[in-house]
Amino acid sequence: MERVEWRVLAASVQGSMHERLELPCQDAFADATTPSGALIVAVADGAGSARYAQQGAQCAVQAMVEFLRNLPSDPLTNGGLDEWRALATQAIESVQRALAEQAAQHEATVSDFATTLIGVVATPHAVASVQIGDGAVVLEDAQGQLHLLTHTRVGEYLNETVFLTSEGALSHARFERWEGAAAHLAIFTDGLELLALQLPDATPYPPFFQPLFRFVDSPEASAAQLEAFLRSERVRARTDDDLTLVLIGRKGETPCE
Amino acid sequence: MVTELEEMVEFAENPEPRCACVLLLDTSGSMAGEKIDALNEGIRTFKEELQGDPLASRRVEVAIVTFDSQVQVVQDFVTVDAFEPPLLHASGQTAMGTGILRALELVRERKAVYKRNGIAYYRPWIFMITDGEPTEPDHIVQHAAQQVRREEENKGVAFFAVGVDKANMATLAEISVRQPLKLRGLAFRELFVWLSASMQRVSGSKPGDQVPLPPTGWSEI
Repeated sequence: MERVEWRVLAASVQGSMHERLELPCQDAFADATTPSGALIVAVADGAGSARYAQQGAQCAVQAMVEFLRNLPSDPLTNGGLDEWRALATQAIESVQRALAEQAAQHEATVSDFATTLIGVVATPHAVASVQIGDGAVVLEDAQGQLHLLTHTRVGEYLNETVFLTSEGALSHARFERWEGAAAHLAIFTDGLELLALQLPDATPYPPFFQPLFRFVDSPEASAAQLEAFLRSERVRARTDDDLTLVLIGRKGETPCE
Repeated sequence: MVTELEEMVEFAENPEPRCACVLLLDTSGSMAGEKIDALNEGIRTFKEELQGDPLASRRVEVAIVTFDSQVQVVQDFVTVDAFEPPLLHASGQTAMGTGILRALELVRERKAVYKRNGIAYYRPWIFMITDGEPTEPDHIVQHAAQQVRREEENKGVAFFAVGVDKANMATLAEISVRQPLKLRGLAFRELFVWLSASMQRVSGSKPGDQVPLPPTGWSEI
């Protein structure tokens, strides 16, 4: 079986609005690789108004990655979108249970842990995602074409979304599965949406992604450099939200027994 | 590499998301004198405060509707940089209900413009300031109150009412779903500093968030 080594660079920075309000950065990120080499990444954006938003986001990404990593076989080994939907639904439910436990421990309600969540699984042959709330995943195929894997707009207003803890959250979940060899992936929270996607259709903006994908391919690229970019004046002039950006590239394909 | 990234990555050219705010102001006779002067000064403060915030100055759109014996759109929606605070004068009766209906209509029209142009937006605000009570026939006031309630239920708008001086707070409470607040003395400046800070929070808020508004230092408890 073919095996891919993934290169993952991630950075989260606090938005200037959160600084002013003395709120912590409420985004979280986690990743893992299964024994057979499937990459699992989760990104969450805690609700600014929720008391334990930061813990909620942390708990959500960890629970998501744990669930998908500990399956008996790789999440995308069998079947297509329907199988992925069934599996990802279980993953979401296990995350919701983890949040409920946290809430019980803190003697709080689950809505105190309100957060969005995006989970992504990448193998050499397919990429799948599950999303509740905002944020987006963009992938670049082997021909260099960009595809919007997942993105949601819930309500009429920009400042509206669903959270994992919302009533009927699962009915708002979006499941996607893309067949093929993704060369690069970018997962990001909503703070970057207006910079990275061209409205009204939310088309991935190539001059945004291409330099970032070249960057993640260079051996000397570091998360610190990505973070410096997110902190740069040019970015901060355009958004004052917390920002999380995860870049994924392939280190190269090597045969595996 | 760091500077390279910063120099190389380009951003999508999206229109700024908009945050519409209607100031719905009582300019009836009872507002004459130091109240209208303080209100005018407050509006100038509002502009200055918003201008100091680069994001808010591009995203917040201000409109002004006044009501006395007439209802007038003194200022249609403009972004803060193009906003010239008017000099308001006070005289006449208090056509509050008609003013409310006009403000709601203005907001609906603006949202239609945003939609047509593919502009993302936040829930608009209507911010009413009065020192009296409606002098119109009851059915107009009732109709206005109904419309406010319906728009609040549909999340079409967030409607705030502030009473000044001898304002009839009971009537305001019948109109506004949100608890009306009573202005402490002539603290218009503090009121508009607060409104500006609230607009900055909303216009910078992340999707999905009910942003906590700053505490009001200008209202009576």
